[in-house]
Amino acid sequence: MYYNGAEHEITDSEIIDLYFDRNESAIKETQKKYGRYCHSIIWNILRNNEDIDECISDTYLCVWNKIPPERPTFFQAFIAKIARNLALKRYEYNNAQKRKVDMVVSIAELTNEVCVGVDDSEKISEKELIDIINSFLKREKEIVRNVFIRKYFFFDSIHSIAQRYSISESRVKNILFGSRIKLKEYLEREGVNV
Amino acid sequence: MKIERLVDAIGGIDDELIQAAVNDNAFIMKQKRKKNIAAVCIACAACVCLTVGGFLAHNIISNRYVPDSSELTSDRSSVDGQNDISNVDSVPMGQGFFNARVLEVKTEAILVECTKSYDEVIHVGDKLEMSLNTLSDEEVPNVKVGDDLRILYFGEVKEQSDGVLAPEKTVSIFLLDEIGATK
Repeated sequence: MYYNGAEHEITDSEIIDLYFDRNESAIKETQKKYGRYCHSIIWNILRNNEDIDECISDTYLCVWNKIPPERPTFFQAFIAKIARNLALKRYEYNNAQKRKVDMVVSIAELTNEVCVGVDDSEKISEKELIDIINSFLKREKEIVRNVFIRKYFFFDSIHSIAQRYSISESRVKNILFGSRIKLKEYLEREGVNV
Repeated sequence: MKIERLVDAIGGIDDELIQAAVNDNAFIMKQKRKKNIAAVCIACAACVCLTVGGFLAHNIISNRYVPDSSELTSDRSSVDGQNDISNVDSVPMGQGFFNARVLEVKTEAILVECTKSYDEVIHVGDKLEMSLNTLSDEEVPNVKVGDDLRILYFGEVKEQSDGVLAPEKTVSIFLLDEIGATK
């Protein structure tokens, strides 16, 4: 987007306005601003360029369909959620042999220390479970919360998290181990059968 | 709970939390500043250690140093009862020395009489009992009555009931003939 001949980085609010106007340049601007970001989120899950391209396209389409009526306050987080969830669906659909190390390790950690695989789907709704996790994360320190989200939401590697926050890999592992144990205890205290 | 449910639930956490983990530049900078401050503190601590270590090393090395009276431009005891501070640097810190003649040799100590003084603490004619257990690694010479010595001492000088002075520690004992100093 250009103002007075100078290139101006479009704001999230302006992009959302384009979606509300049903202006197709909304997707172009989203791609320009958040294309690499979407790619990195989906790459951490799929690690397959063909799947990634399709998943990115699906993400833009999904954003187009959701806005309007939704007007996200945090557009970047909104896109991240959509990209992550679509990539996870694609991941489940794909052959299990294609599973990639970082994400499988992340899920395995959660399985070993937080979940034992008991199906309690009727006991607690997804909304309630999300609220409990939100509440748990908000109680944690900023570094613990961010490391947890970088690992289990974005599936970043231990190495990249350590580099991002200028801490050692062993500190990242310790933070994650501690947060998994605390999450399990918190879920149990809130009456979730883990 | 099945793992898929937990993974999906994490995918539904508040946008605000996700946004904070994405746009965490301020937090990253804070972490880096913390690391830098820690590095500066470590560097400062290392400097302090080096300084203290250097100072201690200097003192230890100084204990092996035998001052010669010729290094002193004047006899400190003769400057109207005042110390000549221009020469203080040449005297190892925390210790003093004097020349003495052996009056008596005991099992672990010697009784000496000061024949030349270089400070205000010990005067010519003072009798002193000096321990033969020296702080220095230098070998204690086999002294006999009548030998002239240069004695380095350290610490407080106490006066015993018989009027004999006893410095807290003996640093080194040298035969004056060996070091070629004046008696």
